[in-house]
Amino acid sequence: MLEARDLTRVWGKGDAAQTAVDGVDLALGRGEVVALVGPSGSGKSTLGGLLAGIDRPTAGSIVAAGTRIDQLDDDELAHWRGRHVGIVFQDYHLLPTLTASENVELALKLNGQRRGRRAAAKAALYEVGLAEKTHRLPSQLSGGEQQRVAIARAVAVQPDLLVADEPTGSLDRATGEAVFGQLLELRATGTTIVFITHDDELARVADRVVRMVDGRILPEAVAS
Amino acid sequence: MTWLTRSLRRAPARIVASVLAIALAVGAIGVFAVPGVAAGTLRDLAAEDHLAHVAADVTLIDDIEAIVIPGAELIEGRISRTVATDDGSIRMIGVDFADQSINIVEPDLGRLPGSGEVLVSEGVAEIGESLTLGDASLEVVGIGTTTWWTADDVAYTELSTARSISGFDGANRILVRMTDSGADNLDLAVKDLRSSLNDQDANYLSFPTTVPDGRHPIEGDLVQISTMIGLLGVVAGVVALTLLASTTNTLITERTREVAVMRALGGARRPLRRRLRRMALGIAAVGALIGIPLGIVVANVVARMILTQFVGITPGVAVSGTVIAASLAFAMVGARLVAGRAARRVTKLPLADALRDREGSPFGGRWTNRLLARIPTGGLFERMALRAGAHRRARTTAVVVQLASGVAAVVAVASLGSSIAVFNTAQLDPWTWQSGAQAVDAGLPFDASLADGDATIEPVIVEFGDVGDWEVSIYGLAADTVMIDRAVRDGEWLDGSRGAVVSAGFAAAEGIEVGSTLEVVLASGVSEYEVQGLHPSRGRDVYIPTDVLAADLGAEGRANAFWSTGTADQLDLALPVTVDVFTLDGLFAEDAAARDLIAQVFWVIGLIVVSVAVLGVSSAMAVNLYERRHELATFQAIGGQKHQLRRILITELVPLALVASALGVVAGWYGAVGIIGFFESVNAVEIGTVFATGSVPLAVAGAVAAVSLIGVAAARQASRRPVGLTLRGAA
Ligand SMILES: Nc1ncnc2c1ncn2[C@@H]1O[C@H](COP(=O)(O)OP(=O)(O)O)[C@@H](O)[C@H]1O
Ligand SMILES: [Mg+2]
Repeated sequence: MLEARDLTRVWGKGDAAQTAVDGVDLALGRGEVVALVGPSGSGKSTLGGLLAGIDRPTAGSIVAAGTRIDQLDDDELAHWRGRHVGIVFQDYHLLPTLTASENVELALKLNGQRRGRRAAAKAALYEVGLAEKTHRLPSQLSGGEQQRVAIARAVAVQPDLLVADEPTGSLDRATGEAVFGQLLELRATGTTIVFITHDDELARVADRVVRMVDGRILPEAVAS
Repeated sequence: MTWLTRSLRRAPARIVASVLAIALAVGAIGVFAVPGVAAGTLRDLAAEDHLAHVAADVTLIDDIEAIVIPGAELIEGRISRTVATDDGSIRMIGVDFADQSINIVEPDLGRLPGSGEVLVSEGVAEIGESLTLGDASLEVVGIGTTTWWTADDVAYTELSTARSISGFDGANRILVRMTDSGADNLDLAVKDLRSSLNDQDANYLSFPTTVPDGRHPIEGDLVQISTMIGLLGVVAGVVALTLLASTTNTLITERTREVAVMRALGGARRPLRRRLRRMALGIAAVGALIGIPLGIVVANVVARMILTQFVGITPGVAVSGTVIAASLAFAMVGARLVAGRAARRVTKLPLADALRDREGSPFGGRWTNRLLARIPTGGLFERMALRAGAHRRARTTAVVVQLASGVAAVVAVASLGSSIAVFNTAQLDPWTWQSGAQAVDAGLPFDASLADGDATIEPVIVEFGDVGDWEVSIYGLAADTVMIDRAVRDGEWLDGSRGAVVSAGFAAAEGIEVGSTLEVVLASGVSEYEVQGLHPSRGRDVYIPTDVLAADLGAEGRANAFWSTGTADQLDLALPVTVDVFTLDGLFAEDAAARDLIAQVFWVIGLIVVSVAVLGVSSAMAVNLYERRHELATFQAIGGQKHQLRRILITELVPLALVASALGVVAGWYGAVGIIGFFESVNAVEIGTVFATGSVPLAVAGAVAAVSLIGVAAARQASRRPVGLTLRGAA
């Protein structure tokens, strides 16, 4: 489903240059659930951004669903994201002027769906337990509720790849677990899931745990 | 200030842009200085040349010393006569150079002439050439003039030389400078001079010119145009204000996160606010430092354009201290006020939000937001656009105000232009003569019966006089004249008795009605006429039967012009003095030229206002993008493409442009009506405002095009930074 080769991302230039992701090779199968773990600053978010196509590698290649996404131009890449990727951020990033339902509808629209968006959005919000709050604006929702809208937004488009960067990092444990459970339900649809976490317990539910240190991925044996 | 230098190092483009925006705003205020700079330049010249307060063409007098005017500081007599040259004619002025004290003539090149020599104004002849004046041939020894005659060709000779060429003894032009040059005092001086002349059996040949309060005689010609420019300065000021406000606001808003970090580290609000304000004031000060010279340049360029084009004076650089002080105060006080508000807002944000660098006030805080979120208007993109506009009301208002002032400037400028154009044509409209020949020098030198027997030619008197506080044009016309459209708005045309017909607009302003008695101060003294009709002519005109007016002027049966309904060559009457021959078509053409000049000046100012407006909107959009960068990045992260971003931003701006256009058109129209109304009342004439309909689609299209371009640029800007980078900054 996704194959990254010799992926490198350098932040900054000259003296300040810092290699956040350093020659990473990574292959993800369809429907695979991967936990990306590692100490803070080890390059997890940077790698996640590269895989989700919201950042570009300094070197290396990524083939996702048959496309060399590192070679797409900005608009093609955006289009690719809309069609194939769901992203969940630690701090939600809902569009503040759109209601919960509209936030999900927008993702469906950018996914290329022309019909039934409202109903699909309602259904997705129902799935995450927000059936009663579809007309609320983000500012009228709690953090946990906002994250659930963000998950509904990512899940509703049934993406091929879902990248979640510490999706429960801003939530209390109970809410976090509930939210996380909803994410994992995508597994059933064949979506490849990459989630970044600090939490070893969460990591345990993954099919595979990828451990990062200093921008590199530790060999599997060492990792476990 | 340390912050300032640090910011400059960190984000030089933004700081430089802010400084330039404020500089431009301050510079635009320079437009206010145009009338002051123009008048100041002229007054300096008036003082330098010792210009006359009263100048009168009179019948020949022998004894200048016998003239007594209480309160006069200086009195000088000269000879003034238009004489033939080899290829036409020129005004010859005889001056006692050894003793000249008023309208001082100075050579720019060469020297003052002695007997048998002449000094000419620039372009007439070169030093060393000889110049024919009447029967004499004089050597040109100097080039120069007095600014009284700045735009005219003049030949200055020694008084005795002028006397022998003209055959006049004594003097026929009297110049007076008064100790007190107030307008009322000059009116008294005119009366005193008249009675003093009468004592010598002399009189005025035409109505004397009075120039009060240290002014330059040309200044009157410029009052209108420079006042209009000053009023347009008001529009520039409004735009400048919003530009200053939005720039200052951005500067501070952009520091939200930095301020939050400082607060988190224990920084108190007060000192933080003080620092923010100081930074804004620092930038405003630097902006003003650049903007003030810019404003001086703007004012001087426009003033120079007017002075060189309209009066042929190339002025030096003048500076209006008041406007400089005002623009400095504008920049500092404006920045202080806006910065104070913004700093308060930024330091009051909940720390948690601010540290995340989230929006200050989330959408949904106001009930209007929530209501708007309930109304599913249009597609999702349109909703985003509409709500974004509603969310940031202050910025939306600023954008609308800026665009509206731009549109208003265009509409007002165009309407003023077309009003002036129509007014100029309308002024000449009633005339039905085609050509004319008029004596150049004062007096009524022609026998009115000269054209008897030719129905296409009539003797006419063209003079000036005073009615109330106004100078008016006095026309002596036959009761059965065919030189003017005799249709009146009220009453009747002249019937040949002691009556007068008056311009309707002037009559209305002065409360003159049909049947009332009109008191006119003529060169010869006060005369009274019964008002018989009100004519639609646009000036301050009074029409009186030719023979009645001639008698009142003390020259029965005489005239100073012949008008013809035919071509100029039919006017070949062998007239005894130098005449000016002109055609109505020629006057139309001259008017067109003057109009083009006015239009040019107006468009320059309109352009300044429009560019300040566009800059203001762009700068407001920059804040907008900064404040919404997470939102816009998120939109792209979930698959939004550049063209969709563009659509949202344009959808957001175009309705604002349309609202602004509607407001701007109305404001521009009322602005034009107000400005013209102002001139109608200060001039006691009817001008009439003509709405420049054609400018409306132009202005609206311009506003829409401008915001669309800004939207396109903004979308490009927003999609340039990698999405991941922007969103990471938020985590
Ligand atoms: N936008 C950025 N600009 C500069 N350096 C960055 C940026 N994003 C990440 N880095 C650096 O790259 C390294 C990896 O960061 P990140 O991927 O966020 O790690 P993690 O998510 O594992 O905590 C860090 O040293 C971080 O400072
Ligand atoms: Mg991270």
